[in-house]
Amino acid sequence: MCIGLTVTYQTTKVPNFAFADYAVAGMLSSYFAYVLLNLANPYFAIPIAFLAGGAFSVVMYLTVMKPMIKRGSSIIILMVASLAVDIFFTGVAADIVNIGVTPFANAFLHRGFPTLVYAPPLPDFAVPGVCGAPQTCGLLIISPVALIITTALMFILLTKSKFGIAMRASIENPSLARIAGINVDRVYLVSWFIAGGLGGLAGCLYAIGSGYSLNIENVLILDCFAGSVLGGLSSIYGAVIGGMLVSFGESYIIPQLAINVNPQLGVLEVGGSSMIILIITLLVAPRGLVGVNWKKFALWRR
Amino acid sequence: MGYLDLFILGLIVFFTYVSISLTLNLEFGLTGIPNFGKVLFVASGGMLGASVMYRAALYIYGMHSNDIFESSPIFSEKIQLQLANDPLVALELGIILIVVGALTAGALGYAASYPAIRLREDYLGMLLLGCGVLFSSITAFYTPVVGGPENVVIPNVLVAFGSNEQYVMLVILAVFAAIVFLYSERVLRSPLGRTLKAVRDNEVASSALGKDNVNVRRKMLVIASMLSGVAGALWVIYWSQEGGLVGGDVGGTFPRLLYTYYPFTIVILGGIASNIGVIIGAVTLTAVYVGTTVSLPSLVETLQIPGVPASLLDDFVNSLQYFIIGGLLLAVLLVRPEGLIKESPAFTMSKAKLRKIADRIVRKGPEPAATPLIEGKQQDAR
Repeated sequence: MCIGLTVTYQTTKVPNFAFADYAVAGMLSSYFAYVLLNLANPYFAIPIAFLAGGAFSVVMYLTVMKPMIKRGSSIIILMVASLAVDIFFTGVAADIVNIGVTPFANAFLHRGFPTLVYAPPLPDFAVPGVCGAPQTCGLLIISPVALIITTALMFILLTKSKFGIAMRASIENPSLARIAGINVDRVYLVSWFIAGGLGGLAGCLYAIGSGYSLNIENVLILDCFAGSVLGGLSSIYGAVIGGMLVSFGESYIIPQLAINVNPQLGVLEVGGSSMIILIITLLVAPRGLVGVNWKKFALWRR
Repeated sequence: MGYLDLFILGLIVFFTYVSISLTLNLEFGLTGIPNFGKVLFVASGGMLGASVMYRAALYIYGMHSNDIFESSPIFSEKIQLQLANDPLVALELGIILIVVGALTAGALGYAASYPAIRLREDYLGMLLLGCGVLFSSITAFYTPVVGGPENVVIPNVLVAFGSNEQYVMLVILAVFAAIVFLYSERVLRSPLGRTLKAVRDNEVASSALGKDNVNVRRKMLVIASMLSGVAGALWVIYWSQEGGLVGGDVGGTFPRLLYTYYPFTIVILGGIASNIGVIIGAVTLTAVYVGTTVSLPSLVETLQIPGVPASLLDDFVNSLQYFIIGGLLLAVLLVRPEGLIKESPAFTMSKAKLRKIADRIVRKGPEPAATPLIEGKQQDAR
C-alpha cells in the first residue's frame, strides 16, 4: 500500500488523502465479488480489487487532479482536493452500500448481506502442516508473497522495461521527458492506475485479515502516510521497509508494551504509534530512511 | 425537536464554526500554514480547560476521591447544585476554563511553530495532522488529562441561568465569533495582513524586504491557536450543558472530521483569505450539517417506506452529509477555485477616505510620485 502512495506522490507530488479510499474500493468490490460470484476463496477476488482500486484512482486523476494541476494549483490545494474526494467517497460508498446494494441483494438474491458498516473477516483457508486455525492463516503466507511479488514486479517494471524508464524520466523531469517524445500524461495515468490497484489489493488483503469496515480509511491513511514518510516518499523500496516497520510497531510493539508496561498504552494502536513514527521521522530525518546517510553510522570505517 | 430549538442549535454550531474557521483562515488563508491539525488546538483547549476547571471545582468545594474522573457523574451533579446558587464561583470556573484553554492551545501552537520553520508546506501539513491524531490518542489513554477511556461529565457553569442557558450560551458564542471576526478584519486590513500575504506568496521577497518570516508565522500560529483553544473551551461549556461526555474514545468529543476537515471546507468554499467568505461558507456547512444530522433523521423517523428498515434510512441520511460536503468542496475547487468570494486587495482605509485623499491631491495638482498609484481612484472620484 505504501508503494502505491509513494508512486502517486512521485508523479504528482501530492500527499493523497484519498488513497485509503482505493483500499476501501478494493475491499468492497472484492467482498461483493466473493459473495455474488460464489467464489471458492476470497483470494480469487484480488484481480477485481486491483481493477476497482485502479479504476477509481484513474477516474480521480482524470476528473480532479489533472485539471487542477493544469491550472497550477498549489500542493496544499491539491491536498484539500484529495481530502474532498475522500469525504465525498465516504458518503458515496456508504450510501451505495446501505441503500443501493444491501437491500437489493437481500431481497432478490437471498444472500443475507449485513449492512456493510462492518462485516466479519472472510473465511480463510487453512494451510495443513503450518497452522491449523483457518482464520488469517492463509493470509500469513499470501500477504508476504504478494508483497514480494509486487516489489519484484515494480523493480522489473521500473528498471527493465521501456515503460518504466519512461516513467522514471517523466518523474525526474517532465518537460525534458516530453521533449524526448514520451507521452507524460499517459505515463502518469498508468502510474496512477498501478498505484490505485496496489491500494485495492492492500484493501482486499486487509479485509481478509481484519474484516470489512467502511470506516477504516480514517485509520489506514495515517499508517500509510507514516510508512511512506518513514520510507522517504521518494523510493519504492523505502516505502516497503517503512510500511513494514510501521505495521510491526502497531501490531507487535504496542501490544507487547501494553502487556508488559501499561495496559492503557494499547490505545496507541489506533493510529498513535504510527503518528509517533511520522512525527519523529519528519523532525529528525525529513527525507526518510532513504535520505539518511547510513555510512555515517557504520561501525567499520574503510 | 421544535423549530426554535433547531434554529438555536444551528446558530450555536454556526458561531463555533465561524470562530474556528476564521482562525484557520488566519493561518491557512493569510499566512499559508496548512494546519491539518486544527483539531489539536481546539481539542487541547477544550479538554485541558475542562480538566483544570473540573479540578478547580473539586478543590473549591473540597471534594476528594481516589479516581476523580470515575466518580465524575456524582461530583458534577453535586457541583452543579452548588453552582446554581453561586454565580460568582461559576463565573470564576468559566474564566478558568477559557483562560486555561487559550493558554494550552497557545503553548501547543508555539511548540508546533518549531517544525513550521524547518519543513516544506506539505510535510508540515502531514506533521500537524500527525500531532492532532496523536493528541486525541493520548487523551484517550492517559487518565490524568480527562479520564482517559472514562467518559467524564463536566459540571455545567451556566447552570444558574436555568432554562435560559441556551440563549446565554448563544450570546457568548456570538460575542466571541464577533470578536474573532473583527480581529481578523483588522489583521486583514493592516500592514500586518499585507506582510502575512507576502510571507504566504513569496517568502524570498518578503525576507528581502526585511520581514522575519519565521517570526511572523510563529506569531500567527500562536494567536490563531489561542483563539481556537477558546472556541474549544466554549464548545465544552455547551457540551456540558447538553449533558455530553468529555473524553472517552479516540476523537470522541472532538472528531478530526468536524474540527479539521470541515473548517478547511468552509475556508475553501468561501474563498481563501476572505472573512466574509468564511461566514458564507459556515452558513452553508452548518445548514448541511445540522440538516443531515438533526432535522432529516427526525423527518425520516416519521417516514415509513415498506421493506426498508429505519436504521438503513438513518445511515443513509447520516452519510448524506459526507456526500454533500465532499461534493460541494470538489465542485468549488474545480469550477471556481478562488472560492465564492474572490480575494481582493484589502484597503487599509475606507473607500470614502481614500477618495478624499485622491481629491485633495487632485486639487493640489499632481504630485509626480503619487499620481501613478492613485490614478484609478481619481477616475472613480470624477
